[in-house]
Amino acid sequence: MMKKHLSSEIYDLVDGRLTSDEIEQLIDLLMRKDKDGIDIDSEVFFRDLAFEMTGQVRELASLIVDFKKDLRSKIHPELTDITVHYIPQVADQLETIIEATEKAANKIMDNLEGMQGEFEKMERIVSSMREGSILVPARTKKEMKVALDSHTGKTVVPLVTFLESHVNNSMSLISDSFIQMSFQDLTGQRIKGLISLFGQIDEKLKKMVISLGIKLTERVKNPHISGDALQRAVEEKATELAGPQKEGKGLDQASIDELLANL
Amino acid sequence: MDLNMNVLVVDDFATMRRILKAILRQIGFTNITEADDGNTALVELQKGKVGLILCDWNMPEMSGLDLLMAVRSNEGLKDIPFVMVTAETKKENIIEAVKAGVSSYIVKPFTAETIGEKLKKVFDG
Repeated sequence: MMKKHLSSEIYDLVDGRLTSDEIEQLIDLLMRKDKDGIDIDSEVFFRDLAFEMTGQVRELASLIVDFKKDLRSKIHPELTDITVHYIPQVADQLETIIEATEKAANKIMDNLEGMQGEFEKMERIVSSMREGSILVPARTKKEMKVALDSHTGKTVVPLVTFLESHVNNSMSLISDSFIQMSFQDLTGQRIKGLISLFGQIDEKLKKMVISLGIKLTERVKNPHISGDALQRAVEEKATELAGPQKEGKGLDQASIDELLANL
Repeated sequence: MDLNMNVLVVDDFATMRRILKAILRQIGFTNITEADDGNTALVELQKGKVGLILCDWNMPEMSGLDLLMAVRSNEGLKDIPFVMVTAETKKENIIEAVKAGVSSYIVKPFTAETIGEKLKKVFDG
């Protein structure tokens, strides 16, 4: 009788924002305080309680109600957004960076190889001039070797020296540009490391979400469950979720739905 | 150093293979073959025409060290000069490579001069 009266008073005080089960739990909690010497049958106590409920306790009750109502919006979407959207998005963007730099690096190296090929041809021509002849590039045949007369050979020596120096410098610049392209190797490997790190963070967050869900589910089933028992439940169910499902051992669809509903 | 010999460049990163090929071309090598991991390299080596191996350390499936050990334990391949080109600079790794019979060890990032000098030492002492 007394409990029903108390239940009705609490219901009015929280403007119906607590369910009858929640009010029941609150009363049970207060009943347990009786062991500590509180006279719960006293009318004075109930008046005091009602008075207090209009202030701090009412606010607390509202907070609990709001928290429970907003639990999904406060915890679940944020955590799952991170694991479902943000981390995969970042990983995709990093993959795109790798692809883009790889594509650009390959194009640059194509160009460098082309330039290297051109300078190699020029190098052969210049070498032939140094030896007293000229390799003449031909479109259909192989290069033709045309001998220089001794006077011309001597006259072109300064030109040959200049061209040799020019070809060598250009080849060194091309070679150095190739070496600088190793940035793509370095950044690619580092970015792959980051993608792997994001994968690990993603995995840990998922575990956190699952752990949170299992704890909430178990707490609803048994409000008095101990911390150790909660931890055991998390370990058991998380293992079931992680491992291959054996007949009669794994979580069935209903259990998974229940778990997801509590997230 | 015979510039007509076939040089095998082994690296899982295509960019690095191209860089090494360009440097080898600048040095004067004309026959260059590529492999993107140790297993593919072994297939190339079985063809019997390779005179020099330039190999990365960190590769999936078969590492450069594993390839080195495979080469050194193969009667037909054991005498091929094997140069490790890697970012691995840990002392114990270098010692391990030396114990396994590496001919030279070039640290990334390298220069064309370094590659040239090391190869000259490998072949001409």
